[in-house]
Amino acid sequence: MAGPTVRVAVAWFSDRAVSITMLDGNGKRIFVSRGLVGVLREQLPGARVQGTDSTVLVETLTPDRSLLTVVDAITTKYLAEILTHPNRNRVTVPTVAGHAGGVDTTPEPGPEPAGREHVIPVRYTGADLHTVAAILNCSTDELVALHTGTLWRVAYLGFAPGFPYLTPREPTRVDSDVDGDAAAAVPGSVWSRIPRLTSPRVTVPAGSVAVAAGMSAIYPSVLPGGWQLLGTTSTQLFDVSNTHAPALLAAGDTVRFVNTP
Amino acid sequence: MTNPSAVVSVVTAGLVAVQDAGRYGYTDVGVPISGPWNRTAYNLLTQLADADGRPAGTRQPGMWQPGLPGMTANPMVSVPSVPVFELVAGVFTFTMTTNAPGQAVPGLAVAFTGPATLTLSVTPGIPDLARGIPHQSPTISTRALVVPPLTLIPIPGTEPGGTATVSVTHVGPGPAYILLTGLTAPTVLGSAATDIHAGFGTPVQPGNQFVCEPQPVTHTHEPGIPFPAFIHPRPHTPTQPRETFTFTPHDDTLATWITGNTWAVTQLSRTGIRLQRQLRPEPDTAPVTQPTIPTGIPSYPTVTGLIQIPSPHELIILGPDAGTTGGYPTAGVITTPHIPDLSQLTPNQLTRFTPQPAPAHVRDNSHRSAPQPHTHGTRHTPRVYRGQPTDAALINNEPDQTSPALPSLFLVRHLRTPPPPSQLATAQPTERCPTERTPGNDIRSSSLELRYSSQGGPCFL
Repeated sequence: MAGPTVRVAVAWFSDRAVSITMLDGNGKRIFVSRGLVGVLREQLPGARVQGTDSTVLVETLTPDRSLLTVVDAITTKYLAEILTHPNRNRVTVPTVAGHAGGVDTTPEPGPEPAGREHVIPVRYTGADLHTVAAILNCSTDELVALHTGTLWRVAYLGFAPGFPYLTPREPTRVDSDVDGDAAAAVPGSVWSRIPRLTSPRVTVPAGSVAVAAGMSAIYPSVLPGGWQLLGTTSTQLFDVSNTHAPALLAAGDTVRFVNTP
Repeated sequence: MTNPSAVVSVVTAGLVAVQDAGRYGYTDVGVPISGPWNRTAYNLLTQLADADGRPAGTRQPGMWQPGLPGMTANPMVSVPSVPVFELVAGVFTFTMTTNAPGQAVPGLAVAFTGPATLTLSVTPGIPDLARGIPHQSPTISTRALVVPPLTLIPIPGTEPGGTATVSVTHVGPGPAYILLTGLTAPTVLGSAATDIHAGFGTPVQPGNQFVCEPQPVTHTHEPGIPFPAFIHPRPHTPTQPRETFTFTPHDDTLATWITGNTWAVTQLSRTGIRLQRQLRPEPDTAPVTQPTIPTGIPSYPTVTGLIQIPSPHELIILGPDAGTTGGYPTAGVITTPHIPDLSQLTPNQLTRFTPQPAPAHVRDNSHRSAPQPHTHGTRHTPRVYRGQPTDAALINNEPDQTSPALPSLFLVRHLRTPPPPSQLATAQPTERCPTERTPGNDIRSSSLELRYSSQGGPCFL
C-alpha cells in the first residue's frame, strides 16, 4: 500500500520540555493534528501541553531525562488515533506506508474537524484599510468583500489572552487555486502579500480586526501590535470570569466576518 | 464576631506587584503563567509559614491547574500558591491596622528574602517588639526594627490608634519578595499573580489596601531565630565579569554563534530581557562566522527562558509574562537552574552562554537503580518517587559531573506511607503515578520536604 508517510519528530526544547512536529515523507513540516494535544493531555496529566498548528510542546515541572522517551512512546502508540481524531485540524495523509526512521501507521480518513462557527461583525474603518487595498491593488469595498468572503480557521491562540491567529479556510475569490489551510504558507496567497508594519504600533485599540503575513487576527484588548488594521468589532473575545473557557474562540473553530457599517 | 484581621495600606509603592505560584492552565488561550521571576527565592520564603495556615482559596491544589477541558490536576505535584509582594525597585512602605486595636492579630507575621532591607516599626511602640531577635535591643520603642531576611517576625499589636509600619528598600539587583501571612488578593483565572503583559493582577499603588486574614496557628516558628542567609545575587567580581548561563540548544549553528559572542543586557522587564551583541571579540574565543538567521519560522509555543533571535545582533530571553506563542528563530532555552538567575540581571550586564544538551544534566528517571538516600537534614530516609515524568519528586540529588555547580531547588511532596516498592524504583517510564487515595496511599498524611542540592552551598530545612 503506497502513500504519503507521516513522521513524528520529538526533540528536546528545553531541559524539561520536548517539542513535537509532524513531517511528511520528504521531511517537510506539516500541520500538527489537534488530536495530538488531546492524547498527550490524557496520557500526561499534570504536564503542560500546548500546541500551535506546527508545533506541540510538552513541559513538566522539573527536568526529567525520560520525558522524550515517554512522549515518543505515547505518540507512537496513539498515532493512528491522533491522525483520525475528530478534533484534528488537518489530515492530508490518507494512507501511510513504511518509512525508515519514522513513525508509521495507516489511518483511515476521519470526520471533518468538529469546531464551532462564529460570526464576527466588523466596522471596516481601520487605519490601514486604504494601505492594504493599495497593496492588493483593489478598492476598499473589494477589500472588505474579500475579507468577509474568506472563511477563516482559528489556527491557535497566543500572543495575548484570547488573541486568535486565523488562517484562510476556503479559497478566496482571488486565489481560488490555493488550498485553504495552507494559504498562509503558499506564496501568492492574496493575504500573504500583506506584510506586517515595519514599525509596530505601541497601542492597538481593543477589538481591532487586522491582517498580516497571510493571516487575520482580532485584538481582544489594548495591545502593542504590528498588524495592518482593517476595522473593529465589539465582540468580546476573552472573559476572565469564565474560568472554564475564558476565550470565545478555540483552535479549530471557524470564523466568518460580516460587514456592519 | 469577626475574625482578627489586618488591613494593609500602601504608602509608597516602588515597583512592586503581587505574585503567587502562577496562573496555570491557560497558556493555550494566550495567558502566560506569570508568577515570581525568582522561583527559588519565592519557594524558600513561602516555606516559612505553615502550609495549613492560609485562608481558604489561596492554595491551589496542583502546580498545573485544571482550567481547560483536558487538563487535570496532578495531586502529586503541589506547590503552595501563596500571594506575596515582588519588589524590583524603590521603596515599598505599608501600614497595618487591625480590627481589634490593642491586640496583635494572632499569626500575623512578615518575612522577606532577596536584595532588600526590611524595617518594622510600631507607633506607639511597645517594649517587647524585638524580644528574642539577635542584635536588637529588647526594649525597642519607636525605633525601627531591622528584620533579618528569611525570618518570620510576628507583627505586634498596637495601641488604639497606633499603626505598624513595614518599609522595604530594594537594594538590587533582582526581585525581593515580601511575605505577609494570610495576605489575600483578588484572583483572575485562579491566580493573584500580576501579569504585566495581559494586565491581570491587583495594582500595588499608594492608597491601595489589602487584607490579611492569618489563621491563628499560621506559624510555629520560634521568633528570633534568623536564617543568616538570603538568596544572594550572583557575584559580580573582577574575576567573573560576565554571567554565564547554560542553555539547551535547538540548533548547532545558532548555538555556536551565540556561544562565541558576548551579549550585553539592554532592556529588562517581566516579559523578557533584550541583549545586544558586543562587537569587540572576546580574547578567549575564536571568531564565529555569523550564520544565516532563518526566516519564515512557523509559530511555536513558548517557555520561560526561551532565547529568540529577532535580528543578527540581538537576543530576547523570555520572562514569566511573555506571550505564549512566538515566531522568531530560537537558539535554545536557558536551563531550569539558571532561570531564577535571569531575574537578577541588570542593564549593561555582560553575559555569555554555554550550550548544554538536554539529557546531559537532566536526571535519568528511566533507570531502575534504588533511590539514593539524600544527605541533608531529615531524620527519615526520603523515598524518591519514581514514575511518570510529571512527578514532582524528580530531583537531581547527586552531584552531576556534567553540570558543575548547578544549584537545584525543588519542593518534594512525598508520601509518609510509601507506595509499594514496585511503584518506587521499578516503574516504567510510561506508568503513571497513583494519584487516587487508596488504603496504601494516604495522601492525607503527606509532608513537605525542601531539598537543596548544590556543591558547597548551605541547606535550609
